[in-house]
Amino acid sequence: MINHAKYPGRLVAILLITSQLQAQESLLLGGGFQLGASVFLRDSQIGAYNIPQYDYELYGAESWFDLNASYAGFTGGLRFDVFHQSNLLNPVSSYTAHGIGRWYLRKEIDQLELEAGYLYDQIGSGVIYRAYEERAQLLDNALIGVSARYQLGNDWFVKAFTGKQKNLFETYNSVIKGIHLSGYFSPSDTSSWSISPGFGFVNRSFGEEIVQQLTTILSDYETTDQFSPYYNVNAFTFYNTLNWKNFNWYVEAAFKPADIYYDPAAVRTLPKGQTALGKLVSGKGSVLYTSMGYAGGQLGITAEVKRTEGMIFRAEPFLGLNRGLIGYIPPMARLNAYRLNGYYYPATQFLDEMAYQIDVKYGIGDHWNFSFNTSEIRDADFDVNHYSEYHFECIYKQPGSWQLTAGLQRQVFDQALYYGKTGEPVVKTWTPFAEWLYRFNRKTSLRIESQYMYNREDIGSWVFVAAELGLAPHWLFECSDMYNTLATKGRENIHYPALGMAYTRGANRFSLRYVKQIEGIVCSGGICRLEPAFSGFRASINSTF
Amino acid sequence: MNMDFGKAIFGWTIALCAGLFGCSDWERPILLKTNVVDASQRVVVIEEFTGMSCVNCPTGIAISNAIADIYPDNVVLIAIHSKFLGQPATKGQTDLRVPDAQAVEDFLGSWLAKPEAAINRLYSAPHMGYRIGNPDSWKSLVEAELQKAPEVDLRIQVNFNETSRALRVLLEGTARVDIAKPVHLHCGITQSGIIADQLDNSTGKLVNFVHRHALLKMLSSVAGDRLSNSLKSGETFAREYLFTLPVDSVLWKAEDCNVFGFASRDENEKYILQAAEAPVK
Repeated sequence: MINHAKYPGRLVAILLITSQLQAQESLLLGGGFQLGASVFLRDSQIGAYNIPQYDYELYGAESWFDLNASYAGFTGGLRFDVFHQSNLLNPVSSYTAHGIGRWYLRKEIDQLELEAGYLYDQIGSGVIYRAYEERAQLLDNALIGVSARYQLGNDWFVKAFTGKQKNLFETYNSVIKGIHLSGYFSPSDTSSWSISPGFGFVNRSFGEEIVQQLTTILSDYETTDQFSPYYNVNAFTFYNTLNWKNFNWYVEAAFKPADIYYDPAAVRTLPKGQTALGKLVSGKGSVLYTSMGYAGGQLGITAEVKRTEGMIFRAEPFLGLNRGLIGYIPPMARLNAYRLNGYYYPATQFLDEMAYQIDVKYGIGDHWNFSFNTSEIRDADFDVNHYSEYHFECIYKQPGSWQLTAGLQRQVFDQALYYGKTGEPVVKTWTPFAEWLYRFNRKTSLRIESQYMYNREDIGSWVFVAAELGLAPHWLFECSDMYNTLATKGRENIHYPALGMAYTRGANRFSLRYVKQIEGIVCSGGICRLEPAFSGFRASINSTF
Repeated sequence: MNMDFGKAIFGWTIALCAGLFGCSDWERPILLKTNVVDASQRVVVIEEFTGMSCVNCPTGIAISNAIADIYPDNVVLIAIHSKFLGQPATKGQTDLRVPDAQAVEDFLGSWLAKPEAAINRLYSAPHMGYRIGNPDSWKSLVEAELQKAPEVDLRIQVNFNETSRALRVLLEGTARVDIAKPVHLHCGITQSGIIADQLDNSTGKLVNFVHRHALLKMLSSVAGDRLSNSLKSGETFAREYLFTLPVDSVLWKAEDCNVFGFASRDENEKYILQAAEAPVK
């Protein structure tokens, strides 16, 4: 479910007023610090070996230090990034670098807001443009450039930007620029309906070196596969949120008239008449996305539908995985927090996908809450099923004392598509789960969770149990174990224990964990990456000031 | 707020976006070109990281073989079947994950995906490594290398005794320019014509796939054997490698084996200066 600003115009007005009230001649400073450090203990039994961190480096760390300041109408910030023997960039390699990961300066002059530096922003739900940061995946596609935003009355604004997308401490070889207009309209303050329409345009022009490379590659193609490369690609989007009483309806239509991208499913002809899968193509792209929601009384319903075709949009045409993405296509599957329920997650397909998701929540009295979620992801023609999920959850609350959560999840997961395991059967799981939270008193609580995943394919069946003891406001202790009850493909039955503690004092949080973790795919916002098996200690510090 | 100005910006924004709708058509068309390089003295090494259980690797194999077919005298193709996705597609079949293949992979940096290839071990700043994951770009990289004059000449002589299966390889070379950095020499054996199943993303499995240029053994150390700390223009060098081919029902068939050699910079720079290849028999 996307967070849509229902009243962007009013929100902007409030922010403007707030910022004007705060525009005093005093310096305001704030920021944050995040550190994650790991000690790697080689364990060939679970596959935690054969990468530098296990073989000889033994240690890896990542850290981000943010400092933000505002003074006399100016706002600015600086972020120092450190990666020491980190496997965040490449799960099986080591990356060491440090430098200024971000700086920015912002100034408001009447209705005009100017910003320079590393910019984070998005248009609509982000389909044609979203510059954001996801540290767990080392995804940071800020735009290095400038932007100007002009406020048109209380409810409308227009914003333009230009820049190059960040690639760690470098930039990709293309220039991205765009403009978007967004607003809010309601017939009156007492009206039962309102709309928040907008549209946006983004252009990406490749650098000379990229076009030369494209020209060389396309010249090598057989005549049937050849086309002339070009520098410029445009993308457009139109979006609107309609609010009427307890209903809201968001709709977005985004399209690219033409773009050059690598299609791994396209058939390429080779010189001697052989064929191979995968080639550069020039094609159009589109995303149609809508979500409808109702919230009234104790009932909440959300339904989403999305169709994607050829909408891969990157800063350079030869990039893969989560690198150089300009747009962001909303995922269409439930984000499951529990370990085994969240193990299989379908990465967003940029070239060929049609999906829907329905989420229903209903409460009865003060004690009972029920929720049901289902999603189905297929190809763009809705012929071939890639993923489906049914998730039922029931919560019983005894206020101030205890809470019990229980449910059942069914997943069907096409590992050939999502994991590239061609020829492997579709994964079908049944996963019951339960969580019990008991409050001994205002300070002491105990949380116990457990899941069992029944699975005849891929990694087999697993059970997971965790216990978490909270001693508010400072201490949290946890221990857990994950064990494969049905090992497949010659794997061994192995325990994956974890033991940890966290200490919080004010705005500072320290944690230390001993972890054995199975290899898996970590997904966030539909973007997924390999998370290798881990064995060792993890320490973290999180601070805000 | 001047509302007329606001309306003007509003209208201008809409008009601009509408006008930009087809702006890729404004570009002058870019003409494609003919890319074949004529009469190069350079011999380029393609080290292709592949695997029998890598479903996307048949595409890389087809493209690298096509490059080798276009430049038969100027390309040395070495297929590195390392551990990642390298296990046999069908249990019990020949396993090409030889220790030296894994050692080469470790030496050139860990994988992100397969297929990937190192072209003359040229460091790629955008890829932050030696391995290029886009097979489409391999040919242009090879051709860029072919257009460079070799810094050394390298010749290879192979003597093979069919009775004893003893192999003698002599690598001889001459520096064409002054080289003020250490030079290493590498030597190894590949085999073609190995029949084993290969996973494939379109058919699932390619039965009885013919694997070519699979690395079996490095006769030199993986980082190369140091020749000298520098070479003067015209200075010659030579090194001999001796090996006895094992007996195996599938591997080490002398008639399908090639011996390659190449000169490179040291283990830090890795860049390959020139290569040579010859059949075992």
